[in-house]
Amino acid sequence: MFGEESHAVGAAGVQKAKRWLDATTRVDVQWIYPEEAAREKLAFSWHDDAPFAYDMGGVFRGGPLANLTFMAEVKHYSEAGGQGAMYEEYLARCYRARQQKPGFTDQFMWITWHPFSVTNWSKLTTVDAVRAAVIKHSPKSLGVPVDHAASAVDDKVCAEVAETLWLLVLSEKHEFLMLSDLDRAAVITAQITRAGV
Amino acid sequence: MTQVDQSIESALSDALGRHSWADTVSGVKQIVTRYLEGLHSGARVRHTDFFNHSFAPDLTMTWPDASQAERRVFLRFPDHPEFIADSVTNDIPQGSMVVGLGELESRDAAPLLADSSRDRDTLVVDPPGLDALNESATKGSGETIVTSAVARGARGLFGRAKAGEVTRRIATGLQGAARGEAGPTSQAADTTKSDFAPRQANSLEYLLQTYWVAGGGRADKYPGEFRPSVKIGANELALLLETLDIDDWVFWRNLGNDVTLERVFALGTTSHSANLSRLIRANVDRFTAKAAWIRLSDGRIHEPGEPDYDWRLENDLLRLVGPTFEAHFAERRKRINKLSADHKGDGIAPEVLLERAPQLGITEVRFDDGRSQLVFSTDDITADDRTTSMAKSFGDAGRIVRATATVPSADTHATVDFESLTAVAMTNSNPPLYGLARTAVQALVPLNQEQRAAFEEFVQLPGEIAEDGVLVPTLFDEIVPEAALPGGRPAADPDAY
Repeated sequence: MFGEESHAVGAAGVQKAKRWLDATTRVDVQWIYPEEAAREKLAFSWHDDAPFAYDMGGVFRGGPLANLTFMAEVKHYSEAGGQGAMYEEYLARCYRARQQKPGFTDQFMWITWHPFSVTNWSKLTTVDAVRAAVIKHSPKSLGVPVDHAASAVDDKVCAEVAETLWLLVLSEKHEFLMLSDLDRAAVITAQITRAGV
Repeated sequence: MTQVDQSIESALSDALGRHSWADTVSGVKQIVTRYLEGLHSGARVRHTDFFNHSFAPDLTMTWPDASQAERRVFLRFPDHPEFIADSVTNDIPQGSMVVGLGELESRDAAPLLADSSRDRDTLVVDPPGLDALNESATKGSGETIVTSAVARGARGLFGRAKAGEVTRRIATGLQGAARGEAGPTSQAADTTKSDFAPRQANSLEYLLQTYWVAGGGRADKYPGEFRPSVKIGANELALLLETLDIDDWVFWRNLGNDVTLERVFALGTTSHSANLSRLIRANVDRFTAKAAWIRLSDGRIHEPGEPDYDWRLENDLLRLVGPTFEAHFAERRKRINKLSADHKGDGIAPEVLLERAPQLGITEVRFDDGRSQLVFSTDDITADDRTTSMAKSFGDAGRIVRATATVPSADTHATVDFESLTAVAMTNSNPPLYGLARTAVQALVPLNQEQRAAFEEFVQLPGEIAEDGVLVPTLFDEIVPEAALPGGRPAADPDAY
């Protein structure tokens, strides 16, 4: 299930992921898909104009990634489910998003509560994985049949996408590793003050 | 670009539709800021560099008054009100404000949102609610008190209906309290408790109570929890003068039970001259002053509807403004001496003073011709033929530079100085303001018959007060003994009017 197919199940998970990411104090998750106002902000389209959207988007705060944008797909799953196949399509989406709106999205995240494709885990964020996914979904990602895809795929874009992939596995216990309310409030107050507010 | 006459919903929709994330964020914040400023709470609204963050505010509201805590403002999309409720309960500081970026009041989860936000002293307001509050803030000062209080400390879910109900109840309650009406006062008191965080609720109820007492209501009949410690201090007096336009002499007379002129002076300045004038005029026999200084002018230009005579308070000085003069009053002689130090006149021709003297009860004059001086004392200079012959003996250069006049309705005299244009009470206890004003203006200002009659009418107690017999001290006098107040003064003498 992607974005719009997973409203009821996904909304709570997306909210959970947003809360966790925001609590790191290093990102500001500004847009989450189930919200009407975010639809256009997170939306792209395949070569055949069929739309797709990420679950959330935002900006990094501080450090080397400051002000870079990210899009994220969230899978609040208690088992692997069909994540392997969905992840492949996600890689093709990232390639398409980078080609359709160059410079719009700096980083791509896959956030899940359950690992998948574990025998292939270390290769999931490589250029080869991206390239294979793009070719597999070439009618939508490249606008050509699969047998013409190898010559149509842009390896440079595949490399760029691979460079910016994040694969995060969360667990319910992660919530206990977040800053305490008191400490987080102090950090946020400091961030607001430092910004001259 | 947001159009000025665009509805908030339409303006937000336009901003949210912008392609760029940064432009969207900036546009939304500007619109919300405009509506928050439209609550007229005096808050400074500042933008943070967060947007829709789980824990960090999008905006902050701060007030010059250090005792008013900062209020953090969180923007939230309206799609899942239950998520907003969860965020209010778990993620954002108690006492915050949440601005929904879409309508919330009619949603199924609205009761949940209202309860959770009330529990956390947090205000959740949606665009129609903000719009309704902004409309109210332009209606009148009573409504502005409410919208300001909402910005500072309302709690619960405020959509259009709730915002309208709260504003109406409290604004009506304030008006009702000023007229001693228990029903609307009681409703307003209940509303303050349920829809405002404790600190703001106390402040609003304090104001209700102040209006109730100043309006002549008895403390034991106040339809809420009366706080005996209530005193009309500088803040309360400022609110009373600056907020509601109360055209009710009885109200201002009763307020005079607990307010001294010293406390009025402490305000420094007030922009609401109508209320100030009512307060002074309704208590002109009870407020006291030590000294007055007259500044003569060629005649001021009247604004449309401006009265010939009026009381003003500017730069810690009470002024009686007339058509050709300004009379400044102070509780201490030094203050007047400072003002008059740079103004030195020639005194007054004896025949001019004799023309003005019948109303002044002058018992002593000092003649001066530049070479010598002569002091002449008698029961009344106008009734003594020697006054004229003595003036003639000084020749054309003879002037009267000083006189001792009887202050009306006060067992005291004042020294009138025709060189410095001052009148100073001679006794330790200060005379009533209207007595000193009459002595100073009638002795020092050239008035024609018409102007004199208008002045006499202006400095008299309004007829409604004497007729209503409201001079009997109210219960409030028992709560705040006069002697306990700074600048305490003797009780008014009903026989004097």
